[in-house]
Formats: sequence, structure tokens, C-alpha cells
Amino acid sequence: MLRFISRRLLVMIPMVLLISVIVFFVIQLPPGDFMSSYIAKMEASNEVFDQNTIARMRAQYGLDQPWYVQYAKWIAGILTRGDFGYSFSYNRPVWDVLSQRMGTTLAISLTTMAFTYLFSIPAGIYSAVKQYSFGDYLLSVIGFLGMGTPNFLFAIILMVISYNWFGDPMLGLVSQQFVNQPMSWAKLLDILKHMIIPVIVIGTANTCGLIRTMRSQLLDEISRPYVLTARAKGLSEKRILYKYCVRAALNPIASTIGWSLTSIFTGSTISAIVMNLPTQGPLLHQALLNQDMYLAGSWLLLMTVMILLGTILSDILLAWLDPRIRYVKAR
Amino acid sequence: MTRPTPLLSVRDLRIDINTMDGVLKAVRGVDLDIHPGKTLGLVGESGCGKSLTSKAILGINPPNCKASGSIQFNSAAGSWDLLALKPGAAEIRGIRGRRISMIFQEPMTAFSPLYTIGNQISEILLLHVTRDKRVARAMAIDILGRVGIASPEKRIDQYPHEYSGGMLQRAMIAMAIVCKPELLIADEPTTALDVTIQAQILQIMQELQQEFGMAIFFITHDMGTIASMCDEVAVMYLGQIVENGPVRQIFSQPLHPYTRGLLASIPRMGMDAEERLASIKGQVPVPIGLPDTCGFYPRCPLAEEAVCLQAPVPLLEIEPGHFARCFKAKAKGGQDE
Repeated sequence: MLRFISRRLLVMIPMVLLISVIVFFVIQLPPGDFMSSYIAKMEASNEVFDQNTIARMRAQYGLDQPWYVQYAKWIAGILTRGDFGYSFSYNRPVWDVLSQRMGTTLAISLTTMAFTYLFSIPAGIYSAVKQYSFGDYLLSVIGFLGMGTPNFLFAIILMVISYNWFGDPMLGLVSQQFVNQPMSWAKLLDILKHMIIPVIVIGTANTCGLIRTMRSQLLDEISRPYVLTARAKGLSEKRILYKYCVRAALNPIASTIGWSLTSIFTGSTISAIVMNLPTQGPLLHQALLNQDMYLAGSWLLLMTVMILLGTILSDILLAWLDPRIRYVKAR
Repeated sequence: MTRPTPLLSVRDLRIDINTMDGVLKAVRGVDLDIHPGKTLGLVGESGCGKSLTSKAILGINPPNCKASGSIQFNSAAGSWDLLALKPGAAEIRGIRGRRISMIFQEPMTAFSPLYTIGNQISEILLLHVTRDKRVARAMAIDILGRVGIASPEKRIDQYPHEYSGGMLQRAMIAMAIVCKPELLIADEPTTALDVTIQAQILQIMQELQQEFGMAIFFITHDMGTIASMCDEVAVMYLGQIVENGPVRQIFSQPLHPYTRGLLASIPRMGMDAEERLASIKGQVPVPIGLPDTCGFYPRCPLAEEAVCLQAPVPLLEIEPGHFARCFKAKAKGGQDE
């Protein structure tokens, strides 16, 4: 098992490098660069630059060189100094900008993930065991509503409700009076309160799919011959369900847990903008608009690493759940 | 003729399945007796209700199968009407696997792929026999050795996908007999296996039967395995027993035209390659809304409207201990021969 994990981690290295080249290349593709969009903005407010100044600024940022030289410098910086480059629009190192939002992003995405799985797996089990019952239909309706409603709309609706009933739309992640305050119980409570809407909005988007997956997988497993064997042995229905069926049914969910880690990270961009959440999603959005290429590139690179790590996590979970996978891989 | 109390007597077992097209009468009044230490064979083609009958004994049919009648089980530990027990409740679960156990048709899918063979065999011991995991493991190793699995102490920690089909069926038998049940139900245990493996599995079952003295209820569609395994045979067609009797009499003197058809369709050594194998004409009808008269009538070579369709056919004792559900069945020496 250890060998399997370490081999997977080693394979990751060339993968990340290859993807980083592609990412950087793609970010370079749109015409113009940060300077041209910056100058365009400045000229809109009647400030004029002469060609020399522009060229000097380009050279200062290294924008006059071909993309592969820029890439080489960038990646060398990351590898040797952990330096992800400089964010033009924030005027700060990229890593500073990213790490500032990392905590909130992780808090929201991990809470959302926990909410999603802790709710949808039991709900899926219930739906399968009580197939075609009222509860099954109710869960399906809730799930499909969550999936069918656009996230940003759902967020707005909940904020309106929150504003009407509690007098606070719960914008952002922390109330005004706590901004720049040190962490305290009151502030934590306030943050938790603000997380309710994002967690529900982002979480429900995934629960439906998970409930349906769990339900159909479990229904499949319940009708397998080994269930009959287990029943003929005298095992109780509950034990058959949890020892045999649920473990087998978790398989597809485990295989997608890696992606959902990142999709919760990124897929919530629009909702995060609507709810004014200081997470990574809006950051990338801004970086791309401003052609802030090192920020965007570093961001995408981190995402890549997350996806690959998530996939490995999925593989490990799968191998743990299903011995057949373990043995095929070990060969 | 006085006979000892049967270990299991099935009386008027009926199983209805609710389908979209109406009530499917899958089993229509089956009577069976299984005697201690003996083997009863139940033979019939796919869909005749033999599997449902066997699963009804353990109460493990799906909930949309409605069973009625009675299944009296006279165990050394007490007597029960198995059909009256609540399915899934503790009482019948104490019988399942402990007093009556079952092996299934497809050994490859009958084990869960997620746990080792040892885990799945120990589980039944921990449930019924012992609470000590080490004892259960030792017993599991011992039983795997008995059913002919080489180096069981290594094999016990392997997963089902590391076993071959024949070995899995051996392990299945091991799991079924490890609690020393009084009755073993074998639902087509050799159908999914190679012919050479089939013979080995049947031999193991016979050896274990002699050793443990259990009764076997052997379900198959293969007349050949019946001949080598069983003391008595019941032939099932369309949810009913059409012929019932000692194995020798059934083979030497089949009374029901369906049984004769089955026997005629077994390929024999020395048959001419050009010769076509006999088959029974027509197809099995779907048992929805059928009349109560002879179910085999549309396919029967002896069919005669005036005789056959006058009333539902009872199971008639044509010879002592040999029953047939046919108005035209005659004992040896009758005009039929």
C-alpha cells in the first residue's frame, strides 16, 4: 500500500510540470498582457504614456520576453525559492494574495464537503432502503430543487429571507464590527453564522447527485446474490446493509471525492461573488479579467495539484474499500 | 406404509408474485417431505418455481412474493412452522445458517467481493456457534480443509476473486455446513461449473452428508445429477409437483409424460451423431391467469381433452410411494406400456 501511494506521488511530479506548461501557455494566449489592459484603463482616465515608458515598464515586469522564457523564470522561482511570482494588480507577491484567502476557502469548502457527504450518504441509504416511500420522494424533490436552482439565485433568495427575518443578509464571511478584530468566541460564532448560507447553497448543488448515486448503487447492491447468501446465513438486515451493501455502494462516491474537493473549491465562484465571500473563486475571476498572469497561473497550478492529490485520495479510498482494486494495482 | 416423521414437510405451498400483468402464480400447491439424512431432489426447468420453493423454506424470497401454506420443520432443537415465522426476525435468523443452510447457483457472485473467505465463514460461526474469533478462525480453516481446499491456512485470508469457481463452490459448501445444519438446501450448486468440477462438488456433498448426517434438498434441472445424488425425486412443472417418488422408480418407470420427456432429452452415450435429441414441444406458459386443469396439457403427447380437462388433476398414488399428477398415468403392467 505504501509503495502504491509513493509511486502515485512520484508520477504526479511530471504531470504537474506538464500541466503547468499548458496552463501558462493558455494564460498567455489572449492578445495583450497586464500592461496593455492597465494602459487601456489609464488612458480611459486621460492619462497618456509615451512608448518609452511603456517599453520600460514591460521590461521591468519581464513582459517583453517570449512566453517560454517567462515560464522558465516563473517555474524556477517556484521550485527554488517557493516564489510564485508577483501579482501586478495587487502589487504583492502572488503567494501572499493566495494564502490570505486560503483559510477562508478551506474553511468553507471543507465544511461544505462535510455537510454534503454527511447529509447525502445517509439520505441515499434511506432512499434506497425505503424505495418509493414518501421520504424517498421528499428527498428526491429537495435534491433536485437544490440541483436545479442556480446557485447564485438560491444564494440571493436565502439572503433576502435572512434579511427579512433576521435583518441581516449575511454578506461576506464576518460582520462589520468583527473585521480586523482578533479571533474570539463571538467572532467565531459570527463566522459560523455567516457560513450557513454558503454551506447550504454550495452544498445542496452536490447533494442531489450524491443522493441519487448512493441510492441507485445501493439498490444495485441490495439485489446482488451475496445479499441472499448473507441472509441465508442468518445475518440481520441491518448488518447485511452496513457490512456488505453500503461499503460496496460507496465505491463511485469514493472515486469522485477527489474531484468534488476541487469543484467545491472552484465551482462556487459565482455564489462567492454574489455572497461577497473572500474565497479563491472570485480571486481567479479578477486575475483573469486583469490579465494578472502570475496570479492566475499560480492559482491554476495549485488547483492542478489539488485535483491530482484528490485523485490519489480517491484511489487510496477505493483500494481500501475494494480489495479487487488493491490487488490489480499491486501487480 | 409407516414412515418416520419427516425433517421438513411442505404442505400446500403457494407463492404468488404481484406483477404489472397480474398475479403470477409461481408455486401452486406444493407438498414435499424431506427425511432426516436423506436427499430429496427437485427437478424442473427454469422458472418452474423450484428456486422460490427452496428459498421459501428460509423465508428469503423478496417481499413481493406472497407465500401461503405451511412448512413444518421438525428439528432436534424444536419444531417450527417456518412460513409462520416473521421474515427477518430473530427466530428465523437463528434457524438460517444454523439448522438449515443453503448454497447457491453462482459461487462467483454468492460471496461478497469485499471480505476474505475467512471473514465470511467466521461470520456465520460468530453468529451461531462461538464468540471467540480465534476458535471461529480455527474452525473455518478446518472446514476449508475438509471440502478439499489445499493449504486452507493460507487460503482463508484470500478474497473471493483469488479463488476459482470450483474452489468458491467448495468454500460455499464449507460455509453452509460449518455450523452442522440438519438440512442443506442446494440450489443448482453445480450449474455454473465445469463438468469435471461438478462431479467433484457432488462427491464432496455426498461425503459430507455421510459424515454429518444432514438431509439435502437438491434443486437442479439436470436429471443426470439427480440420479447420482438423490434418494427421492420430485419433478416440478409450472409451480406444481407432477411426479414424486423414489429415484429408482422415477428413472425406471416414469409415470408423468413430462418426466418422460425430461428423461428422453438426456443425451446418451452411443447416440448416433445424426440423431436429434428428443425435446418437449412447445414452451412453458407464463403462469398468470391459468386454468386449474393440467398445466402440461398444451405440450403433452398424451393429451386427450375428454380425460385431461375435466377437472384439476390431483397427485395420484399410482404405485406405493410413487405419485403422479396425471389422469393417464398407469402403474407397471398397465395398458400404457
